[in-house]
Amino acid sequence: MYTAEISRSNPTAYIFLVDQSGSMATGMAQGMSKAEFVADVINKTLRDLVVRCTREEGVRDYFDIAVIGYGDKSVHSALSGSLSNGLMHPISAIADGTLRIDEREKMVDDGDGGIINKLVRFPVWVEPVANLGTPMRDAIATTARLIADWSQTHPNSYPVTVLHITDGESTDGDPEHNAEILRSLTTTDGQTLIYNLHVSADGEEPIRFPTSENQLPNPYSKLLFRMSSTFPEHLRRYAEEAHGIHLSAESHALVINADAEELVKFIDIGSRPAAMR
Amino acid sequence: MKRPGKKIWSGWLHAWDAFDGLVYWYVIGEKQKSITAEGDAVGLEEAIDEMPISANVFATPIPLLAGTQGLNFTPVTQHLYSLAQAFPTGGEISHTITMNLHTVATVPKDLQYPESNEDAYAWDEDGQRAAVFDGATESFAAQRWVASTRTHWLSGHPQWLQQAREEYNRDIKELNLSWAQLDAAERGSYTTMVSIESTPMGLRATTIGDSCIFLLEGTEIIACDPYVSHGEFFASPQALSTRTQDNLTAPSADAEIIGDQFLISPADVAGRQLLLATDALSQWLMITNPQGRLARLLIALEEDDLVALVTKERASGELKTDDTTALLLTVSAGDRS
Repeated sequence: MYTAEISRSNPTAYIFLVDQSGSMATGMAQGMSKAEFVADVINKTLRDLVVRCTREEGVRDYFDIAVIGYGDKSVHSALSGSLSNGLMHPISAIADGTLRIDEREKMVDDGDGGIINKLVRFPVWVEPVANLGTPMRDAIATTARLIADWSQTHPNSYPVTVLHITDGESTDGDPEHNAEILRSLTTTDGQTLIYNLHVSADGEEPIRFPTSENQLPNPYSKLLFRMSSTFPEHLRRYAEEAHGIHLSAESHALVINADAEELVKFIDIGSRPAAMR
Repeated sequence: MKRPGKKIWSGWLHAWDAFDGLVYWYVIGEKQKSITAEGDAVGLEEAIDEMPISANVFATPIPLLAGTQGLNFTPVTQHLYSLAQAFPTGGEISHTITMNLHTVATVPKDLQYPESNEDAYAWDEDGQRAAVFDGATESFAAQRWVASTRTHWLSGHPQWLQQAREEYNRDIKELNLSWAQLDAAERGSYTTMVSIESTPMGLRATTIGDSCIFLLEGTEIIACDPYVSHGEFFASPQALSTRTQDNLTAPSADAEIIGDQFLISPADVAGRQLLLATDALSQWLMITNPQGRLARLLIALEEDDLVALVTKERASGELKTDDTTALLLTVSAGDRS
């Protein structure tokens, strides 16, 4: 399970499911709002996935990507421009579909023992949005339909990974049943993976990768626990090697009260592909 | 392989006698000095200590192959050999073994994209040298890098790796790259290599990464290197890199030490076969009783139908889906003791 090699003939898919409700306008520690920080992390992750697939001859379509936003009673693609038609796009289309390419300063090693500021390219696909309600139930249903279609046309691929980022409770009903349907969708290599991250600006202590509902303080976080997958072995290994995070087979892909740093680690682990060929 | 050592001169290279399971070799400089200490550890250390401190002297141990279950090459003892090609060894060849290319075949990892095969091979009949290269999938331009390393390795120039890298970097700079390609190019390109070359003192094998060399007799694997078991294959093996800093043996070293090298004595190899193979096929062969698999491979190579064998074994999950290359040499003549 979760060992299918990723290739152009057998790509895998990543779906970023992003809460764009009004409360995402609240500020985080770095002076950015939650929406701004989440948009930044998604843009950086898309950049990393594009560059990972890029070769001299062009971008190899190892991945299909969707970025789905939900807020203000609507569920929609959070991508725009050439990517506004349809939800799922091959990574080569993502590479060609930037809104713009910003330049940002980054501290880098100067190769001589020092650190310098260097201007680096920062491609932008997703803009921060924070607007009214949280139609999470409908968002998960839309995602499940998308995965059902994709898995049917990619029956032997590494299963779809959904990275769900939210800061609050659903306002359109209980999403749990739809989440069960989503997780039950399979390829021959395993079930769809759904990772849930609850992002918070309140400074409360994060709860990371719980192994039991009993570790969670309230019905909302217990719901997210039940909606979360466990980690395949190669990701448990990666989390240990890259982040020093020890995960067991029972650890659920959930972080509650995640701050900015937790968000970055979570997305990195969740979007780490298995072997590409 | 990164090996710490006392840096000596570059130039001539002499092997020392084997002791403690290791053969120490060192490069003696352009002044053509030679070390004549006796064949023991103390003698060698004293000889090195006598050299001027300002000289660049490099002493690196080459571990003798020690495998398990009888899979090991005969330890090399009392062999002198030269690895520095900048200074011709002169003298006469002291053995009469000859390598002949029996077959070579390669199958791409994705049969729908055969042009994307990132393996390559090289055979120099006159120079009696053969090599197999496996470009890493994660590379920015694996095929370009493999082509450069292959071309410059074939040239036999002592700075072939540096020349390959200069050619690659020069060519990349001339490309019109997108934002994603500019970022991707920074991660560089990588290839493993396994080679066998005839030298006056025997066959010199070089391995870097997980492409392997096998010594065969009929359908029996007598020895193999650098791995001897299925579980040794890692996701990210060592490789030759387009980035200088990846190939150096120490942060301030000027010399690039290319992989692991060892001698195969003529007595060990005459009348047998040598197989150079990239990692997927090598790993496939490394099971407890490989005779059946080796027989099937040799038949496939004889029938010029490696594709059929590879397709079948991939479908059953026994062979990793990866570019797959096999180069088979026969070694003839010479007395076996």
